[in-house]
Amino acid sequence: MNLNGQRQLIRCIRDGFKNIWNHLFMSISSILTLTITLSLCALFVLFAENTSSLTRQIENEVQIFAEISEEVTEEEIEATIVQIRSMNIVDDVIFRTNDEEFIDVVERMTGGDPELEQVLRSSTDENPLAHTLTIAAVSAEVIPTLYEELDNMNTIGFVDFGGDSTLESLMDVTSTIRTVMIIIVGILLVLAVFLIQNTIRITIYSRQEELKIMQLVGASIPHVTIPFLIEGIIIGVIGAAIPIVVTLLGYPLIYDGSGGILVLEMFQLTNPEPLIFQIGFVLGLISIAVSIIGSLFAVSRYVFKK
Amino acid sequence: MIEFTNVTKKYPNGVIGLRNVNLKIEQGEFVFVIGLSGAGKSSSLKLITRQEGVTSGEIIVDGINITKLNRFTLHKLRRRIGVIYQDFKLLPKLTVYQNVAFALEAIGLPTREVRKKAMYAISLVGLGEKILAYPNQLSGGEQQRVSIARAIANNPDIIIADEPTGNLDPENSRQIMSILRKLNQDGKTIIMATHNYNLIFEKDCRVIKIDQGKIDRDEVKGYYES
Repeated sequence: MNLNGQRQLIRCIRDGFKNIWNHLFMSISSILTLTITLSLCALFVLFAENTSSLTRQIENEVQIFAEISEEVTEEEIEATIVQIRSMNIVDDVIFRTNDEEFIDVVERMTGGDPELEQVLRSSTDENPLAHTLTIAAVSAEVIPTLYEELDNMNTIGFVDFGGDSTLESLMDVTSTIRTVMIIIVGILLVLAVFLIQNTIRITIYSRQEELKIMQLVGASIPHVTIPFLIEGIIIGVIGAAIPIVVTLLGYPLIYDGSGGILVLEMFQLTNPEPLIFQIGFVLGLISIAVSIIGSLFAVSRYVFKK
Repeated sequence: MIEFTNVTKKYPNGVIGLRNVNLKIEQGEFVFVIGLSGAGKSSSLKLITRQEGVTSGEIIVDGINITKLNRFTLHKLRRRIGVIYQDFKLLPKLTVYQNVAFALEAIGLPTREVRKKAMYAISLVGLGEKILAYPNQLSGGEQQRVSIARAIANNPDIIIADEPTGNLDPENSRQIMSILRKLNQDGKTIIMATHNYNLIFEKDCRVIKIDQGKIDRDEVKGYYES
């Protein structure tokens, strides 16, 4: 850029700030709308990212629990395990004997208290529990099929899984929230475009005489219009600053404060980096795009008219 | 040189500004355009500066067919033409100097050149001592001189003046005519629309009378006689 170009750019930026100051109320309205919209965008992205990682974690946790029927021989158990492992929808099979299960149950019930344990063990002569299989599926979608397959096997006495309905309802809720947020953010973005358009339009209207003279003395279209585009971009940059700073500083604070965990150990928050920088970049792009679109609408209607 | 070929201007409301006008104005001429209100004087001037577009026909200015210019190339024409209005069209919040400099900044001239050209134009119209005055601190004649300074600052070849003395008393009108006369002697083409026939009688200039959108009379280099 030559010296003349730099001077023109400085003039445009100066005029942009001057216009914002001259129509402070409208400019603040546009800036606030953008700030709110972009804050919601940031919240939306953070929510979407964390719920999708949460869903992934839950999906990975989905397993089927099965009990071996009584009177089943060791050979039949081994054959059953081999048969289940051979299914292409099964990821892993863990076999536990009824003794191992019993030890677990006793430990859970007594909380490690030796006296209670003694009482519990003396109250029963034989182990009432069955051998168990814990079967991990390759994905959440195949759980119903796997359940049916296992239920039809003679060697399996009882099959149970509790994750499917929980997962489905969680996915339904997050999907609904996502859709609602997309609609809200979309409406707010359109509103921001119109507010910026109106702000610039008011500036153009108040400077109509000046613009008319500029065009009559031979100012080129870019020379007349670029200051208005820059005014729009300044509004966009100011509007994006707060959400970007809050995202960059706020999310790591929440992450550090909660130890990266949301309520339960299994719900882990997404690592702040590089997520916050990606969000900051996207917010910056959205704000500039929205402000340029708003400015172009205003400029095309008032400057390019015959 | 300015040349109208079969130019017709019809407004959307049905009013006809010009009807099939053919006209040629040479470089360095001083042309008065006269006629009743609504006769087509302002229409013809606005067609030259492309404030209005023709309905049919073509206008050539310095070899350029201006009817073919689009919005992105129009500024090239406008930089060759200085325009003076009856109501001055000065920006009230700018000083004399700023009003003139503004027009030069608008075409992207460097600051140093803006300063030089603006000061020269202001001195030519005799307002060197009032560069810091605002329009409301000036008389009508002085405001029109600022308007002339703005029109000539970029040294255009053609000056269009639409009733430049319409709001002025005889003394101020005489001063404005004197400035325009001098600019014409310097080689500028002046095209001036006016109602004031007294100004015409004083000058040995070309006079074009427009009536109902047509050229009624065209007196080249002779006194106009009604």
